Amino acid sequence: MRVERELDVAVPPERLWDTLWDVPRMVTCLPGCTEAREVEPHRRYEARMTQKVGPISLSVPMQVTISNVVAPTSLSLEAKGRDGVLGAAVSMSVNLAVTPRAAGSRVRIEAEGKILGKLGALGHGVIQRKAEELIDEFGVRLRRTVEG
Amino acid sequence: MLRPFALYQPTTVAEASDLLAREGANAALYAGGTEVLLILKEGLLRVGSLIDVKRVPGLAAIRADNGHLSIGATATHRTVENDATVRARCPLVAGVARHVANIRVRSVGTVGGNLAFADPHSDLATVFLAFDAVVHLASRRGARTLPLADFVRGQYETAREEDEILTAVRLTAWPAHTAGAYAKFGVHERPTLGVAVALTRHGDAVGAVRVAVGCVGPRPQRISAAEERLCGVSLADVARHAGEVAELAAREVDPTTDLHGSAEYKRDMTRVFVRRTLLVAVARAAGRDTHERHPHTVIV
Repeated sequence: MRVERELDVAVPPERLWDTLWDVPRMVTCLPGCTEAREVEPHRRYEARMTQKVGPISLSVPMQVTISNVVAPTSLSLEAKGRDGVLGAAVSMSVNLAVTPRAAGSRVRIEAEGKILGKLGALGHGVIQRKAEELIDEFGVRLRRTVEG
Repeated sequence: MLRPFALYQPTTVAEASDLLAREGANAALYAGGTEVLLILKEGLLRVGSLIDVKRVPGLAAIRADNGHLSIGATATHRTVENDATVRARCPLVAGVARHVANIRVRSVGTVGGNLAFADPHSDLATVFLAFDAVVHLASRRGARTLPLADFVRGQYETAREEDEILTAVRLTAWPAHTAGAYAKFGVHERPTLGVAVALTRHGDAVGAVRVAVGCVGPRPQRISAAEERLCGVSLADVARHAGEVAELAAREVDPTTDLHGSAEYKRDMTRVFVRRTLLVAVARAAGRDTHERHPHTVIV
C-alpha cells in the first residue's frame, strides 16, 4: 500500500521542522498514536499505534528509526511492529520532504506500508483507505498544530 | 479456532442494549453469525461475549403500512425471499434475497446483521438504497431513524453507537408503473459489483429514476447525476442515453482497489453494468423482459 500527499502550511520550514521533532505534539497529530517516547534523540523512537477497521482493532507497538536527516528539508522514517493478538506484522517507511513556499512551507509525504497476517483477509482495499484517511487526518492536525 | 465466549440471549431490545453498554468492546452482537463468526474464527475479533438478538420476539417481523415495507433486523434472507408481503410490495427485494451468498448463509444470515456489519461486498444495502431505505436504531437511551445512506459510513463502518441495536429497515415501496432490475457480477463468493435501477413511467416518459451502485467502493451510493439525466426522457429514447448515463455513473463512483480488482477495472465494470441494468429496467418498464444473460452475472 502506498500513499502520497502534499500539504501546505503557513509557517517557514524551520518552524515546521522543530514541530516534527516535538514528540508530544506529533503524538497529538497522529490519530491512534499513544505511549510515544524518545529512545535516542533524532534516531530512535517507540510508540503504540491503535487503529480500528469496523469491529476489528489493531494495536501495534512500533519501533521507529529515523535516517537521512537533512535539516530542515528531509528525513526518512522506518517503523516496524507486531500486533500480538492478531499476529499482524506492520511495517512502513515514510519519506518526508519540506520545501519553502512564498507563504510558508510545503510538506511532501510518501508513505509505503505493509500489513502481513490474517488482517490481509480483509483485503488490500480496506487497509489502503485506512492509510489514506490516517495521513489526511495527520495533515489536518499538523497544520492546526504548527499554525495554531 | 473459535475461542470460548459467553452467550447472552436477551429477550428485549432494552435488555440487549443494557448488555451492550455493560460489556462495551468485550461484546459483539450476534444476528446469525455469518459474518461475525468468520472474523471470530480468524482471530480478527476477540470478544468475551456474544449477544444473540435473534431471540428477541418481534425483531424479525415484516410489515407493510402506508406504502412502506418494514423488515425486522433478525429476518433471515430466506424469510425475506419467501415472505408474501415482501413479494407483493417490493418483489425486487425478495428476488435479491434469493441470490444472497448461498443457501446456508440465507437460512441463518439476517437483514440487520448484513447491514450492521457493512461489508462493502454485499447486495442488500445497494438494493435498499433504491427503496430510499431508513434504518431504525434503538438503545436504552431511546430510538432513532437514519437514512441508510448516512448509516453506512464506510467499509465495515456504520453510524451505530456501541449500545445501539439495528431493529428494522424501512423501505419505501416504488410507486405504480415502476419497473426495476438488480444486476450483480462476481467471480468470488461475494459480489464485485451490484447495480440497482428503477424507472417510474409517467405516460410514455421516465417520471422518476433510481440508480444505485454498490460493492465497488467503501459504501453503496445513489448516482444522482445519472438519475437527473434520465428524468423526463421518453421511454423509447432511454436506450439511446444509456451509454451517457453509464458514463455519469462510472465518473461518480469511488472505487477501491482490492482483491476483486483495481479501481480502474471497477470503474469500467460500473459503466458496463449500469448500462446493462438500465436496459433491462427500461425493457421491463415497456412490458418486455430481455432474458439477458452474461457470464458471472445474476440479473434479478
